[in-house]
Amino acid sequence: MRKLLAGLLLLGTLACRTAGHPDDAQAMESGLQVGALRGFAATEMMIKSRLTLPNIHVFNLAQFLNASSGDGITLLLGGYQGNAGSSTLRNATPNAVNMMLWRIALSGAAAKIANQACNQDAYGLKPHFVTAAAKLCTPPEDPAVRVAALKEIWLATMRYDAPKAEMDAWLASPTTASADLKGVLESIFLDPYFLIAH
Amino acid sequence: MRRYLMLGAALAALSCRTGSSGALKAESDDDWAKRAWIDKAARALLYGASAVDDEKIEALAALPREQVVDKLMEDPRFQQTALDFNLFFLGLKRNGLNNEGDAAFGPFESHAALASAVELAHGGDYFRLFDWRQKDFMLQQHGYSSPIPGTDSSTVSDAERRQYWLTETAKRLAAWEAAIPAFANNDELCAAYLNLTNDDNSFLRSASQAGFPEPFSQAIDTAVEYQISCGAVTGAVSQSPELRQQIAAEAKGLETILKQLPEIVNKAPKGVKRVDEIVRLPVAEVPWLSKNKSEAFDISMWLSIANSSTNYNRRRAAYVLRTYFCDDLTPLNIVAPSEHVGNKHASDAGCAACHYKLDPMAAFFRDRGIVGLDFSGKPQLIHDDLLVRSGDELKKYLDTWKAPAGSGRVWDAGYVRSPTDQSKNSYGESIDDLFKIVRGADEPKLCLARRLTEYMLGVGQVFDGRWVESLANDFIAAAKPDAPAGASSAAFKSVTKTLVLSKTFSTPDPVKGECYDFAPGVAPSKLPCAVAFIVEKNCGTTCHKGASAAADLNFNDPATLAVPDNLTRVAAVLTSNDPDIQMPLNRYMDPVERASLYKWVQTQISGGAP
Repeated sequence: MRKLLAGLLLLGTLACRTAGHPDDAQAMESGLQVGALRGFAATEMMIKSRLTLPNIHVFNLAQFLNASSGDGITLLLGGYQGNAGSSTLRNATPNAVNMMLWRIALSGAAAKIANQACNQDAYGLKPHFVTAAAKLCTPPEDPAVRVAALKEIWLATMRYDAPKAEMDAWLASPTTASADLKGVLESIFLDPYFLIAH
Repeated sequence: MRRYLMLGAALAALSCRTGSSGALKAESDDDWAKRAWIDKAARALLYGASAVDDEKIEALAALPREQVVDKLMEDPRFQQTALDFNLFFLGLKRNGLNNEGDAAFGPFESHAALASAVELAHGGDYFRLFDWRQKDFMLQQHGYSSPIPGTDSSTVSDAERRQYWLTETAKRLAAWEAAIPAFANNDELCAAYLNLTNDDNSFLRSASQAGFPEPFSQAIDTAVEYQISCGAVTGAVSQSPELRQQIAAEAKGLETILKQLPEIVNKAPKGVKRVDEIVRLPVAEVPWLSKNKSEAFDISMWLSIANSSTNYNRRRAAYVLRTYFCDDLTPLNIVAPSEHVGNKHASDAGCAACHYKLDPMAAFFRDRGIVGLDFSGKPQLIHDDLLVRSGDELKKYLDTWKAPAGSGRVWDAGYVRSPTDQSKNSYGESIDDLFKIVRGADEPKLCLARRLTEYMLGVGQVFDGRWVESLANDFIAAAKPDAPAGASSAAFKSVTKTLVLSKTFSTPDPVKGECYDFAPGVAPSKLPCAVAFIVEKNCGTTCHKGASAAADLNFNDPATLAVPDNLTRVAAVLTSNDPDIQMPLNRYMDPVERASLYKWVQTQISGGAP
């Protein structure tokens, strides 16, 4: 399952398969589902708590979908409805629709954060992230400087949620080598270890 | 190519140590795993926030894991996790307690979830989660008070404005109450009632201008609209004087709330505008509105589990069974009792599979009508679908739940574990009795442990039943009458800590069908983990073990449950309604365990995941 999800996300393509985790009926009993999306609220909280300063509004993920946090569209990205039924995380199985929406939302967040870090005095962003991000605003000449900055950005964003091998593979990827700050953040956000509960 | 080689060389030249910022360090794979676990534990215990500061994670990484958990649980955000879990347990989990634009008052709608979380924060009675009688919470005035007509708002304080509108609300409410007898008929009364939300002279309009906390004004609003609808005021009811009395009684209740509000609203601590902040207040500052005069279900809950005139409270019963007993009512045939009540749907053997527990549970709600209003002793009952029952029809409706003659009770209301062995069942009469059963029975504690395990470790993950039962024992012990004060809070923290320290929690991407944790001192079973405990407890200790196992089904041998024919036989005897065939033979088996084993067997037969 993880390899399939990794393929969907890393390639950034829209899968043709429809929703249908075989264990949906049983899995939809409660809480977070191992192997499924963390959901809209949890993912937004991860990004904000890791990269932005507390009590300062930088963005809401929903704004990149032209919506508000409480809008129904965010439920498509994995959410709870709070009915007196069961506490079910709905739409937590990756499918063509929600992965497209995730890509739009996370791409928007990456662009916003990158723009903030590089062009707007980094207001609202955590200092250690800004220090690393700034090194990618203008591509450094020294590859070692770039790699060091990439690693700090990875550790600031992904922290230790992914194995070290995942970080090493990402650092060595040609895509990472040539990406700007927005592209770097986007690739981390769309990494399965970031989006998927495990 | 050259560029990539240079990058590769740069990468190889760097150790895991970061650059000059020195923010995060992981020297080895173990270091990395420890920090990954700390981040995951922080997310689990601090309500999802990856909010362990870079410097703090290094300090925590130096501590043993037990101490890391202790430190994290001292963080005030742990109380938010507790509140969120309570909502999860009650089937009310939302997308967030903190998100902007989210239903930040959502948890307010569950008095039980909030009261329990507050108790936990102060080392009190966490099992308030299981109580029917609850306290209301009132936040600081949420809205801005409208200007007093004819005054300069800059010279009038917020408190003065609020007091003006409170007084105005009380006056308008009194005026409306006084007008009730004067309406020519209930149609006019109904129309005027519904206008309370729109008319400038309505008391609800003035209530909103006083800036009453949103849940309160919404509660009034909904109560008014649903208390009576013009669709219900037809025919004979139109002239019913009882209906007017009922409305007048409801108005008195609103009056009482209005009188209490100023004290609470003025006393509420400043800055507390979100319900999740309540759990962090010192005990003396928690803004209680009433002393155990509310119920665990508020209006939105009653709306979610509405009772039409045809479902006989079964939806409400199903909610209680699923929520507090983890019983999802998997329909399995049962051995029917020898007595049948003729021509009743629920007495059919196939239907009885669910109804033998559903109907007695539903009986507790027999007097509750639209939005859960209590019609006990009233001449009529209005259902959520606005059907009105009165007279003989009402009597016939209530008689549905009359206990059989000679049973020793008036109502057939109870938590029924066995349709044939009455001694296994817990009976009562009122909803208060129901929640006393919930408080006292072991099944809700086991359900609580099961749900907490799912909440912390993930859905779809298989857990060893004996391990979960060992966790539940903490809750069961804490529920005993002689347990020390605060035992339930201590039990919640202890079980949570065990879960965060578990192998399942520490294992990245755990295999769903595999168990990683087992009860202390017990060797892992060789049987499939998902059902090992159930099989050993109900089948494999007496009859179905060893070379001479009954029916050649030796459940000590894991290969037995891998044979399709054996699985088919097991499914058949689990669900037989013949007392000479149903297994375990002449022994009680917990219905939830029976259902779990049956579902697992069916999954194996159909070739699904373990």
